Amino acid sequence: MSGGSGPTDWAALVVGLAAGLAARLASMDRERRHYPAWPGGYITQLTMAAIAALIGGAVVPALVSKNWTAATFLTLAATQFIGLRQTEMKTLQAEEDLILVGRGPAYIMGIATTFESRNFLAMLVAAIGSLATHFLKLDAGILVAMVTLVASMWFTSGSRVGEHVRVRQGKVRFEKGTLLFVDDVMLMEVGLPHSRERFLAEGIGVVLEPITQRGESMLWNIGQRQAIAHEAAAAVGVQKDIGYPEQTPLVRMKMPYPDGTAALFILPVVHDFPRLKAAIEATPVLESVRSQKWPLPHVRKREVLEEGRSAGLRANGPAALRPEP
Amino acid sequence: MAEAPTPQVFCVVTTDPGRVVAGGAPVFVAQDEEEQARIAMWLSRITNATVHDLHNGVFVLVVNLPGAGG
Repeated sequence: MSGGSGPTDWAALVVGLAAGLAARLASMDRERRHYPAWPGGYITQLTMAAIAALIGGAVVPALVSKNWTAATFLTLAATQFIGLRQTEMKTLQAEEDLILVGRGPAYIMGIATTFESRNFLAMLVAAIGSLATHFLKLDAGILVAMVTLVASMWFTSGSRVGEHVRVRQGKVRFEKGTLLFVDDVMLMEVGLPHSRERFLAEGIGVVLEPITQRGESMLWNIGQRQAIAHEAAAAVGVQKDIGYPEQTPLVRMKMPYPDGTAALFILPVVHDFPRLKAAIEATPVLESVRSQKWPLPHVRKREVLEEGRSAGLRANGPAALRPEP
Repeated sequence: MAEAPTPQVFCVVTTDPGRVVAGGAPVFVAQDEEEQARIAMWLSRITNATVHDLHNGVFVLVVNLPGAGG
């Protein structure tokens, strides 16, 4: 900040920088799963976090010392962060074809948006910290910075699938020879006898029962289900390779008589249900589902359950699914 | 996973040729059910197509992208 007309407020800058960096570091630690864990990824993020925090922390001292040029340059630097989302999205999209169980476009969008916003959040925390330090005393500024930091962590922690859905183990079975069921949810038709034997011997079935309305609308969202399948596969592995399409983990709703229950079938490498359960419960609720509270098929569900009057639904479903006592 | 193609019946494996009328997809005729399952499995592994049993002696191999969105 040399060349300005006033003295530089170093205390404000340092407090802002520290607070911003801490905000970014905290979110990185909490959300490690979202993020590439190899060293390169961390270094890139740390660097971006430092730049973001510096921008946030320097804006107030720059403006106060009437250093307009510096302030303008800092806002220009901020626009760079918007490009980060695009880069992140492109990377994940390119990776999508190379991983066995994809994240799905909705999840990728969520991850990229979160990544971008975290840098802006770090900037904001830094700006507030340095603002408080400049206009209050140093200790008050540090206090405000810490409060902002905690508040930012609290505000940005999104809800998890486990808060809206109960996850329990279900029994894997085949009906009519080839229809794969987990409890009473039909998932798919498996044509190969060899695969069916393997599914029965090694598969894990998981039943997802919504405990809130949001949980139900979440499960109706295909993007959210793909995210759950991805996280499940990431946690326990999946016995799959190119040429084994039927061994992809699937999440399906109970149809044709929907009651909001979904089921997941996975052919894991590690047969560890607690780990699988923890991974599903920790899957973030996607942005696209957050605002959606009332699932559309709810209206139909009552109609179907009360009278079973829709002949089409009745005719299409396997006999075993008919809700007779 | 980026672009989802339209599901397409890629080929048919049957023990009963009378059940299938050729119409675009190649039909493989198997001697018995064991051979049918074996042919279907090989074709599936080779082409990454999913095998579905129509319960009338006909297996269809369908090419689409699996996953929750399916």
